[in-house]
Amino acid sequence: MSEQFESSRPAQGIPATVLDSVPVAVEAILGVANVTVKELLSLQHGKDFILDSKLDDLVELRINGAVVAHGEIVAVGDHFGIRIRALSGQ
Amino acid sequence: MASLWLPAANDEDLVRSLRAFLTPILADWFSKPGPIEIMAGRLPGRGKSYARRFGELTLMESELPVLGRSVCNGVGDLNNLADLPVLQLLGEKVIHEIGGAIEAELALGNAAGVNAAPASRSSPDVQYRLRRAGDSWTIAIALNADAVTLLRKKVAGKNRRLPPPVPLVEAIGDVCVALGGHLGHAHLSAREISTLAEGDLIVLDGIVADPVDITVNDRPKAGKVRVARSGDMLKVTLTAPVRIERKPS
Repeated sequence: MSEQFESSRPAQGIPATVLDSVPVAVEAILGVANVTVKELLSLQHGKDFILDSKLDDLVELRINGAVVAHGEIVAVGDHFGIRIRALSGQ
Repeated sequence: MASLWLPAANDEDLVRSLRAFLTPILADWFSKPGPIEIMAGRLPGRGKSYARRFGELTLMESELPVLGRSVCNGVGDLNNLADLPVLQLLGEKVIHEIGGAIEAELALGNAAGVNAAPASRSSPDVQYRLRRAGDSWTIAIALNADAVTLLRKKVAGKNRRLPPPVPLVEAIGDVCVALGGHLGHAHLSAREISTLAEGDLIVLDGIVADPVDITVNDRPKAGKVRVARSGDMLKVTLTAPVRIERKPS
């Protein structure tokens, strides 16, 4: 119980100003499909491939490969954006 | 069945080469030549230094078509009269013929003479000896270091081939992989990450109109696709071919 509490707190000894300057790269992965290698290699240039995922399915937000949140894809100007819908561990 | 014990039986090329040239030779001598078993071992009853360069070929009595069981009672040596006909036959036919074939195959010098007793034969490089233990006769073939080197060289020149390539798709075609689309990165600070909450918006560097990288089993840069909608569903169109790269070894 107390461990959980501690791990969800920001580290005590490190001032917030230091955390401000620690860059973390997040990436968004659209989990699309499980395919066999044969299907993968038969994908041809210009050929359409309908995915299992729907438009409003959530995508994964990852830090160092670990999924930390799920969100929905939005367009922000020209860029992809992720609106956080669920944080991992909640 | 013929069994061949070789100290170097873990040398696959050597074993393959021996098997390849012993098989036709033995087929000339046995009505039903079985598989040749090649296993690690050494000739029993010999000192270590000698054993290291010994191979042993065991021929089961029942597979010597011209020999009856009746002649094989006694110890397999030249002093035993009962064994003499067997030794005579094996010595003259099998040992000298098989030995000759092996020497010819290895391009070794011929035996120094056929003067020796019929049950033995020796050349500078190869020695043969015939023994009997229980029901099985044993031809011991000893190669000296030079002969082993010759055999290895021969193997390296002749048999060291790669197996024919299997088409990639055939070999791994049924393996299932997880396909993903990499929408882009964002750089946040550790503080921002720790205060992330539902409803927050993170803007990625990926451009909506640009093709996105596809990941295969979470490995990026396998190819590029354009993501578009198709009714309710997502549709991807390949714009750069899928590449499969070998892991650098």
